[in-house]
Amino acid sequence: MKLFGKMLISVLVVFLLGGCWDRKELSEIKLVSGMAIDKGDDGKYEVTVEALNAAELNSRTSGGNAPSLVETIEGETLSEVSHQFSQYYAQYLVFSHMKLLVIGEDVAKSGMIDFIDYLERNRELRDDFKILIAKDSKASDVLKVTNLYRKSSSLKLSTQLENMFQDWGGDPDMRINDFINDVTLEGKEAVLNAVVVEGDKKVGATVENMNNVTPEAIVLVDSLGFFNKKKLAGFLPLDDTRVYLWITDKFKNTTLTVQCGEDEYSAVRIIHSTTDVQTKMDGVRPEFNINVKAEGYIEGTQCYKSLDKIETFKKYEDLVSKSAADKIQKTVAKMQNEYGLDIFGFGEIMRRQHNNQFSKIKEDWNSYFAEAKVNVNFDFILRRTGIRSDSFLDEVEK
Amino acid sequence: MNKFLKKLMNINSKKQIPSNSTPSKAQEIEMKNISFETIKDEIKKIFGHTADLKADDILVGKSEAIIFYLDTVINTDFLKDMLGQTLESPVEQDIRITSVDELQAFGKKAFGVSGYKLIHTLSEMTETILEGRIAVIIKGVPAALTISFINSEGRTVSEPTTQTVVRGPKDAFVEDISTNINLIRKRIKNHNLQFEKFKVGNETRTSVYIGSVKGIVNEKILEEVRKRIKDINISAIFESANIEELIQDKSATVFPLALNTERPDSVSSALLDGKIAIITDGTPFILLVPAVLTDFFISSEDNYQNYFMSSFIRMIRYLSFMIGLLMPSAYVGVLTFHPELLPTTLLLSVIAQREGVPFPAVIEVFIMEITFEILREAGVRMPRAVGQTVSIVGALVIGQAAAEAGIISNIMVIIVAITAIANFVFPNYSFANASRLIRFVLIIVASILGLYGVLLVLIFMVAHLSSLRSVGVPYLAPVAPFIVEDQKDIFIRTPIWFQNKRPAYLSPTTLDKQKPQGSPSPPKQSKGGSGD
Amino acid sequence: MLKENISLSQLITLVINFLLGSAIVVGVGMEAKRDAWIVIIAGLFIGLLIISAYYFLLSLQPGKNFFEILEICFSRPVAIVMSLGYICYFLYIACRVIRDFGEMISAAILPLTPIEVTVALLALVIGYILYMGIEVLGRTSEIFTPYTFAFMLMLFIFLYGSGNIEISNLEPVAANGWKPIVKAIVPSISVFPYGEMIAFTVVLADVTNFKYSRVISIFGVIIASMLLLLSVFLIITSLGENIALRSNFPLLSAARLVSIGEFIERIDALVVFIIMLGILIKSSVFIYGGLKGLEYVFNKPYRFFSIPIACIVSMFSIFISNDFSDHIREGLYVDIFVLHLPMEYGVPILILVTLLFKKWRKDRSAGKEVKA
Repeated sequence: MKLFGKMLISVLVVFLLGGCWDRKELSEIKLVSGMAIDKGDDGKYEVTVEALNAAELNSRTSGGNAPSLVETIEGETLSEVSHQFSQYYAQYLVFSHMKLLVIGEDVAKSGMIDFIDYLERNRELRDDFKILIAKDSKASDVLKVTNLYRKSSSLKLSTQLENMFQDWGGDPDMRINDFINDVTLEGKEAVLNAVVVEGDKKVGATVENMNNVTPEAIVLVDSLGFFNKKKLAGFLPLDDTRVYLWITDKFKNTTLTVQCGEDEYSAVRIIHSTTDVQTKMDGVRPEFNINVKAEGYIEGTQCYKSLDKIETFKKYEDLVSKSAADKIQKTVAKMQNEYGLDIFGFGEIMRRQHNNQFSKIKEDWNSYFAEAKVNVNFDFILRRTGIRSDSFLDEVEK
Repeated sequence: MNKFLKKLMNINSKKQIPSNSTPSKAQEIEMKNISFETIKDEIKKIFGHTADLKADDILVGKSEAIIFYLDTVINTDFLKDMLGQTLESPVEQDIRITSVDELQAFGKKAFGVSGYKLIHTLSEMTETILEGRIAVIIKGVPAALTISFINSEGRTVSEPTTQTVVRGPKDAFVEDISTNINLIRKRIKNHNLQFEKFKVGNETRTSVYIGSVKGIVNEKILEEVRKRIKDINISAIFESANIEELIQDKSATVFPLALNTERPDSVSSALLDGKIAIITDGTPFILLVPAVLTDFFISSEDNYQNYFMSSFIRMIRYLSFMIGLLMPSAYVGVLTFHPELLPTTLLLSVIAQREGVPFPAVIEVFIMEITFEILREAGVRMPRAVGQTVSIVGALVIGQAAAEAGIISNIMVIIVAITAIANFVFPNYSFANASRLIRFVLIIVASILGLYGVLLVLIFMVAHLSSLRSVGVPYLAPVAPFIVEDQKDIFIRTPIWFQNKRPAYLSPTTLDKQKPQGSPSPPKQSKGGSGD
Repeated sequence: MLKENISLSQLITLVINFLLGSAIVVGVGMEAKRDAWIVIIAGLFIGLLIISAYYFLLSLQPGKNFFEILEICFSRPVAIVMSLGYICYFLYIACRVIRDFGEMISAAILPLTPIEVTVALLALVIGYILYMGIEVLGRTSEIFTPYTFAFMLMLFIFLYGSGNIEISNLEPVAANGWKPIVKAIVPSISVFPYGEMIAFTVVLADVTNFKYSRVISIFGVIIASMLLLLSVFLIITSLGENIALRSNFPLLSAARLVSIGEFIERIDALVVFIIMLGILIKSSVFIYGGLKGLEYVFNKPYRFFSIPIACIVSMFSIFISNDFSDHIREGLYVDIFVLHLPMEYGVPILILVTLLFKKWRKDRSAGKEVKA
């Protein structure tokens, strides 16, 4: 037993004195909240990183300084560059809390998305960051615009995108896993939201930008970018993101404007919606049947028809259904005719429903998609009208 | 130089140590071998001429006699009355006692009620005198009559100091053993409640009683406890803790293997469950064996409150055990090794607070914990009036001041405060101590290996707990081995009318407490007409 | 050598944790891609057959563990040789299991810490537990198993709550035909993890109520398969087939997806705890098998060997493979034909046949005596 005790002590001493290999004190780390990838002049990529100054983000300890540090390095691999940042920063960079990834338009257009392997393989990076495309500007500029909400650009954008997805349906809610899945699947093409930087970029990078009621520079969500395999192929207006969400059944809420009279519009808030897509092969032509069931309430109306009658409800329902179905039809047609790219995932749905048929045509799916017949059936149920029944305009007319 | 040192050493080692320093039992001298004259000197020699040994010459009837007693141990007023009435009463004037039988008859007549005993050896006499009896030796009779006059003064029964309750009986044990047994007997008026007496401790000869309820307790366990107490070979016993250490199963552990309590109702309910009580003279703390881990989370108050409330409080106790154990080490582990496990906003806030703090997280935790332990100990030693305030408030104020000075971060103060308060939730002090110690080990391991180390040590601790036995009963019963029937009072408290069986892990002789019954329901209404 | 017992409830927890052990680290049935859940259901039935067969084997000679049965079938020298083979086999699997765990910790949790340290500390704890006896192992497993259940369920609830589960990822069923599924069942899943229950032939001999141990172990196999099914389900539905196949540690990657209200996120630690427990118990059972074999060969109580063997196992965990791909290939592909099939199926069948033959001969001769 004595010998055992001695052995145990020596073993323990080795462990205790050997050092702690993974220790990183909190004062030694800096959290990275956003990363931007552009095409580099000297190297393959130009990587920009936004690292947070934690003291500035806490109102008690903030001293009015810049909330984050943004620096750029060029290199061949993302991974080496991410460790090279000690050229600029005093502390280790920790990527586990990254909230945003911005891909430059030039990178996406040339299809150089191989850096994503690093993002997937690394143990620190999780699946929770939003991905954007920077349109008409360099990706690094997106990270340099300060904003009063949470001070740093990436924090603001990531929250903003989440809310946009929930509230209006303007964000396709793409994460790295979704993006990789979509790029690799044969029956679907990937989409990503695109942002522009509006205003004076130089002022945008300073703290003064936060002192104005209307900031000098601000990052706007602009459009939906879609891919053809690895390459960025084009942009769709933001409106069509809703159609994308509808077809992929990720839809949350939105407000739809319908025309109910000449130069008169009503706004209907759609709050619950489920979609069912049925596909089948009609000879050599695929056929898609999109059935959407939605419900909502009236938020504002300029048509002053009596809203307490059931017939009016029915009228609105038909109006909304037709209008939404039209919208969906138009967008799908645009994708079919102008671009010939199946971003909605009909191919995947066909694979799930008719696997053997799909596997025959999956190599050439996009051209089949372009020829497909699309039927949309939108079933909207109007539930309520807010806290007023008839519009006051009724009275005014009288 | 060397020679000088050796001389120094030798001087120390050659100190005169008396060879008969081991406590001697007074020689087993038969009384008939000593003459009457020399007996006084013999007894005085045995007692070392101590000032409180009184040897008075009296007359018992017509015979000469000597009574021996220690006047500090007996109730001298009572003695005077008794002597006046019986030994020297006119009725007995004519008696002459010449033989042991006559002595016996006299004893029966005069002192039958008070409890008399005849002894024949000097060692017995020494023992009885020490116990508080007087020894009457009559000339010519080779035996002594001993009568008990013990002085039972001591602390009166008052409120318990450690395990207080809001609702429930507020009497607590005292140092005198008869009062203690009285308190138990008052609660269990049952003829099966038995007490066996032992004398433990070579020098102190302390009385130790083992209490158990015959017909409920498992005879094998009782036999084991008896054996262990008989085997105790130690010079002094002052507190039940000494006995606890000596009868503990052979294992090196920080966890207490016997329950100690100051409250008679806890002891009574434990006895009725099949446990064994070890009552030591001179201390109000009574040991209950066999003890299992879940016993330390039970307070008698649980039975006096609504069972939903008690179940909730029990859960809080288990939760606070885990918190008290894990919180500082989780803090150190997460912040140093795994900052990715915290949500972003929380992490940013913590980083902001820890900016400018000079020490790494581990050192911070150690400083605060050790400060807190020091304050706690000081709070215990300080006079009652100031003690409580200084310890808790002092800790928080010092912590706050240190945070302001920038030595530790605010979060650290909160964590240490929560841990300390979680530790106070325990009804049992010895168990809280165990968790304090383990907490330190966890902090060290967390600083080396992060959460992985914490998990390893936790598993190690559970394995260690599983291997412990308290008088043969596994320490983690009834959770492991899992006994379904016993779950009624472990994590939640089921109503009393639902707990119909005694805990099976104690293997009691009778398992059923009472007939299965439900709670009373209101009387049924008779059909038709308003109720009777 | 005192006879130690484990109760029935401890047996069931041992079975459950054993089967979950390393199967949830690297994922099981993934060769069938998104139909892995079918593979597991089939594996469940195979597992039931296997455990019943092992129970039957032991019931022919009640109270004796595997090594003693070897002696009854063949003579002691032959039994010693075969026991040595099995000792090495059990310890080898224990090395693999611990290496699995070490790889996961190194890849995902503590990348800079040398793998020797993580493995050595785990082995020390295992050594301590086994030194205290199999009862302590049983009780420890009994205490922690409810938490395993609770955490698996919590993982399911969280993944569901954060909207990560897409049932459509499971469709279409059997897209690639039945061949990959069958290939995954035989021999892959029959050998890992269900075939590894041969280690229980050593443990079952120590159960208090041997009669009921068959029903209890069957229950254990069913529950463990349900949990495995749940984990595979979670993996495929939340990660998608593509990513799940390319993940080294799929359950961990799936757990990282949980994000509810910005508060309940980053719960890797939960999954690490479940996995750690499973690995601990699985390797402890295997090492216990090895120790019992050593006890049989050398006639010394097995506790005597526990800490040295634990140290040896931790050392060999490092030696058996240079890198991760070597470890996976050897452990999951090469081993099947070289080691697992003969040891888990071949030899027990041989023993079964021999025992039955002996029994038949004894009955026949007894019958003859009666007749005569």
